[in-house]
Amino acid sequence: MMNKRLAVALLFATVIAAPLYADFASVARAIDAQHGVKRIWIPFLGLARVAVRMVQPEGVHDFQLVTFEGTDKVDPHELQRILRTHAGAGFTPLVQAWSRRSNEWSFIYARPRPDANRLELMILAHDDEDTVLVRVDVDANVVAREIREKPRHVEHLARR
Amino acid sequence: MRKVLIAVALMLALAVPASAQKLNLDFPELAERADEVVDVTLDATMLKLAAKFFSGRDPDERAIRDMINGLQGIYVRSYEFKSAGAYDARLIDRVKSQLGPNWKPLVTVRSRTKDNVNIMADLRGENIVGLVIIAAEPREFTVVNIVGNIDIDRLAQLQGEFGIPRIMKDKDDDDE
Repeated sequence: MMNKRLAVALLFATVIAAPLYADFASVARAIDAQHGVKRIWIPFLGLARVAVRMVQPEGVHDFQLVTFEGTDKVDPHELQRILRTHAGAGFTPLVQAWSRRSNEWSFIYARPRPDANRLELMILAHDDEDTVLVRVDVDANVVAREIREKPRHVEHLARR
Repeated sequence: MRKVLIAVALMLALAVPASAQKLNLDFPELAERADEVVDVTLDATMLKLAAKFFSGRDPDERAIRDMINGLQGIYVRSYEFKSAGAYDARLIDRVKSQLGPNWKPLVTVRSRTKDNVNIMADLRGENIVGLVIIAAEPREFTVVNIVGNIDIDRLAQLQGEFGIPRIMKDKDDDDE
């Protein structure tokens, strides 16, 4: 009984602590709707999100992540279009980089948070193996450092 | 009545600030053909955020921060190709054709086999309110548009930041 209560309380806390973002969901849904694309379920991701919200590692305050498989046949330009049209108000392109040599495509949109020292990034990283969509609420200094030093690899921040 | 109209026109002319020119740097046909593409867009909001995180103690970082504070945008488009001659060299003219009469060339480097560099500035009196850097190499084409008040003495400190290529020679390079 105690365990059940604890589980319910934990579930409730998870739901309360991890708000849903319509913009992120809209982008994820649009990718999911592509022919042959399948969303991959990642176990314990909700708990990881709660942990990130509490610990805030590397200046990250919150994140959402969805991984897709079967996107190798999707035109990356279509993914770019989806992010552009579904990212939501306030999001503007920050870094868009791709390499046909390695078939890696990264699109990063940013939106300043109301407290002005944080940024919300919507990152879409696509390669031969999978496509990852990440929304991350991060300290702006972390982003500034990454863009200053290696703008081509800023998506690694999200991958980490 | 005419005097009033002239006075109003004069007042309007003086009231309009010297707004910097943002160029159209979208080259879809180039992006289609390029092997690697990097597109960095830092608008005024992003730059204000970025400026906060340059240290006020380090003189180099302070100089960059002060410069960024006067900017309205940094736009970088870089295209890398598999082989030489994959893009039309007239692209440089296409960028230049967007520049108004205030734009003056600052640096022009021409080479048939190596880098071609054009740096042009939007001059309003003694102030530079815009800058375009076109770096054309046989396999790479990069355009940088910096919009806002630019301190030319500090400009060199922005190279290597935010995806802006290193174009000007550092003093250290000469010493080596």
